[in-house]
Amino acid sequence: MQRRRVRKSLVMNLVMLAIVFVIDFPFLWMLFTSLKGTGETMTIPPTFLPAKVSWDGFRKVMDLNFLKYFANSFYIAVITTGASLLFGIMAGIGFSRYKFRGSKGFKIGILVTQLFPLILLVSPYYLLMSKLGLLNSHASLMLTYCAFTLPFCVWMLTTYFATVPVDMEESAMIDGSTKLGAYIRITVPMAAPGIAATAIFAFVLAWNEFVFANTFIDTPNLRTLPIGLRTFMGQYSTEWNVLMAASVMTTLPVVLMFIFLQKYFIRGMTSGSIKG
Amino acid sequence: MRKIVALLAITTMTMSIAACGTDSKSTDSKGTGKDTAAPANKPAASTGGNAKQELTIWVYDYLAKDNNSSLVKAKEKFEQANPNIKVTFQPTVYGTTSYRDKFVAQTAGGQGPDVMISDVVWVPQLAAMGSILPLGDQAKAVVDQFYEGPLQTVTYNGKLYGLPWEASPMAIYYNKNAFKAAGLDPDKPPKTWDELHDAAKKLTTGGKFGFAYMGGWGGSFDWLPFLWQSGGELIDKDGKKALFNSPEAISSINYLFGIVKEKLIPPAALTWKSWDELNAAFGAGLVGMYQSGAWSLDSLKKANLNFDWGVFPSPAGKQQATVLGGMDWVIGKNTKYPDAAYKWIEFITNKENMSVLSDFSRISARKDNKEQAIFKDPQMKVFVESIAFAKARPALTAWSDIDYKVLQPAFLKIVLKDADVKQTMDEAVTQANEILSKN
Amino acid sequence: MVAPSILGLSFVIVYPLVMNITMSFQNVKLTQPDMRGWVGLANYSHLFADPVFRTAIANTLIWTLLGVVLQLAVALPIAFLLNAEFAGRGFYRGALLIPWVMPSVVAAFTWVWMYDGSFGILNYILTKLHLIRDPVVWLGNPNTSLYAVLVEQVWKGFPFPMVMLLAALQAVPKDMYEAAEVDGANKMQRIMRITIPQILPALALCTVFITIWTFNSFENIWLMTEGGPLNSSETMTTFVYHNAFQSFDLGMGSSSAMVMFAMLLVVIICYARYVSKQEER
Repeated sequence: MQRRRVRKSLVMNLVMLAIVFVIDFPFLWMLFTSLKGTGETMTIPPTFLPAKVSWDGFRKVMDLNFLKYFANSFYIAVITTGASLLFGIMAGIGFSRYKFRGSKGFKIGILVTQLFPLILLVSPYYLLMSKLGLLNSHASLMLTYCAFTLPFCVWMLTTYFATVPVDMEESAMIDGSTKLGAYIRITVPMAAPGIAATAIFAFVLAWNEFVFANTFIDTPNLRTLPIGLRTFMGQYSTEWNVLMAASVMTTLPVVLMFIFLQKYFIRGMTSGSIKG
Repeated sequence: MRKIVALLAITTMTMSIAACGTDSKSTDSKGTGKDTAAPANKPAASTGGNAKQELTIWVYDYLAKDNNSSLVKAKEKFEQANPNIKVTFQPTVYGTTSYRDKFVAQTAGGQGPDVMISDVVWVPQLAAMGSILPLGDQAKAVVDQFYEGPLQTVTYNGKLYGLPWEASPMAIYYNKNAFKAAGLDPDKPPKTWDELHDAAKKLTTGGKFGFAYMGGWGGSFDWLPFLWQSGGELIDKDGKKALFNSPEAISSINYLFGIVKEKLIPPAALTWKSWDELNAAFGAGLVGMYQSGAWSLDSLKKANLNFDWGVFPSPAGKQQATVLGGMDWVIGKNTKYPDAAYKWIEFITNKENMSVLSDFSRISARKDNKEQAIFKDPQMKVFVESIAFAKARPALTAWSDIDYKVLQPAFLKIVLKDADVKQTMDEAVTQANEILSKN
Repeated sequence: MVAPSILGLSFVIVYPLVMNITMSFQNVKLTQPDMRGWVGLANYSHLFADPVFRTAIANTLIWTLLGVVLQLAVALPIAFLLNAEFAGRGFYRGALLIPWVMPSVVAAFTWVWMYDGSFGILNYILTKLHLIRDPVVWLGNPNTSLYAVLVEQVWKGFPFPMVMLLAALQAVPKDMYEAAEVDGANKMQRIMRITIPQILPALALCTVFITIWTFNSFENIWLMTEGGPLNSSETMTTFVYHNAFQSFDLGMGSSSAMVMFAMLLVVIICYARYVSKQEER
């Protein structure tokens, strides 16, 4: 019995390893290319592992405007995440604790936003931002991203808050806490995994978004990372080690965040969507 | 309670929006000094007062890659000489029409840069749309400093809409080592179509290729020299009829795109959309010859290639010919400071600043360009001498449209879908004539 | 308390929809702001006369259908594998989510690099395996461009249905299998009679989601081919963007977006019905 299980584990691991290698090959290829010297990306036949690890690509990226783009993206993503969480928690508690007329319609509306074509939003938002005088500003992006993330955040958080028993809040209130205090001290911490999942969702969306950033922003100093990357692609279209180094550094924050919060995220994603 | 909370929430949200707004504006003014909200009013500030005049200038990104760029240094000099003017470069990726289109759209919306570098072919179109300002009488004092050809590119309806900066004909780069290995004499590069074709054939061996062009755009620019070499023309003198289905034109199309069918160019070239990609393929030894302007000299020299290379002038079909490219400086119509803007373009095109172009291995459009340091360079000499038989593209508002909407798709069809050349070009001429009749 | 979210929601749905409908009947050219005005159905008649638009519709249908089938075809078997109990499962689940986590710009460029016609690894591997003789310019050939981008789409999209299906598989009560085993059902029968019916709701939901996401995909196509060459990978989304932000004709952009929306509406209505039925239960 024991041996059979070990053998099964071994076979499964081999199969999975092969699958993971194929699926993650582009990721590995990006990683290895970023560590190649300038000449090595242009060899026939191509090498898989770098013949000699070289930091040329990364060094060159640091000489470019990369850090500025990185900072812009980080700033926008943090503000977007903060705002989405704040309003998401408010609405989540509202929906899970009070009955509204039309709250069902609202929930369906939220789902519809997930299915709405992004491309439909670009022109109206462009005109709106132009009227508000916000074109070519970070505020235009933060507003847009908040509008995107909010519905989904509300949806996820509502399902989470619904799992927090109301009587816990009530017992806190009996102990002399205000309603708001009970929410902050009891309900919100109980829903921490859901909040973590929501936070990643908002952060990743703002970090990765390309279309609006590409349409709204012109000034080089205001560019976000995806747009910066696209610019590098135009300027260094043949220096793949540089491009891949920039790609690695763009991917790193989201992958790290994901590794640390993976458990919550998958739970949040599956529970949110399937119960929805 | 619920209503109060809701109200509170709306208030915080509006406040946070307002906060975002002010905050980003301060970032913005640090970045470019461009006030995005301000419409194009022309305040009295342009004439008097000590207020700092801020110019936003669009330049091709490669000209201002870093602070060591000679263009950036020239800007610093300009600011020292004119302490009340602050110049901010906005490097923009060149290579698609988006550079031009973004300028047009922003200018129509009351924004856009004060000054911009423009490709020589865009100027008539921008002038016709009213996106750029005609120069005042001040310019009359300097016009005779420029060659006639480049000057034509900034002239529309008899008015001057900018000053020419760079004039650049194309020639052919070749790998001397590869020539030797293929049994060709590197000191006697091809002079005729047959010799060029023969060389391309011999150079194509063992995973290397003889020739290459910028296939992502269909190769319409690369084809122009061959068209004129064949004795063909693009458009008649009145600018009313397209002529690129003439027997001469067809022969040049068959000649250039025939080498694709013979597999004398690397397959990947069909996706290339930038000179960088061509330069890199040449540098990696993948292609033995390619057509480019003096703009490629700079990057090839910096790359320290491990083989000998050279440049030879465009070959002769019926006649020798090549295409003239280049850049002009123009003033956006929404500028608040037209005088400061003019000051900049006169400054950057003056004799002293020819050295900026020299640093990028570019040829000045000035008549006294012989004094540019780069003229001693033997490879550069090929380009300078090519100016004698170089032709500019038609100065027509419709030219860009014909190029992008008619010629490029037609050539892509011929190359990628094996479309019949004569039939495709007949259709292309019909479409082009329609565009011409509307302008 | 919910007000900001309702505001956000109307900002995401109501406002753009109203604007799109309005602009689709107007001449809105950013390059000619003075020419703005009502034009009736002119945008729509231009649209349907445009052969490129017809190509875009055809491509979108191929893209969506093939994309959904392939994403499910990759996701489902892997979800089954991950549902088995063995050491190290958590690691594989995480590793397989990497494509989904990678920023779309990064993913697109990585694939462009792998597809490169001269130095790309893919051509090298395929020639080594004797699957192709000469390198293929995957993104520059009108016969392959759409499918080359589609591979990237499937690669980046499959982890989501994988995780959803895995969760559904894990939610199947163990005692159902045990009972079936006692009744003498073999493995195949157990899968057909228990597993499939149990995960069907999740599968249906997944299918709806990825159908719409695939239908709406834009970034990867734009970054990898811009819809080219010769419109061979032009889908409705790239068509909308081409019109709106390359020709700066927002009127045309809006009318094509409305056609897209009408197609989506069918799916969205079905989905909304499905959800409200679920809630009634």
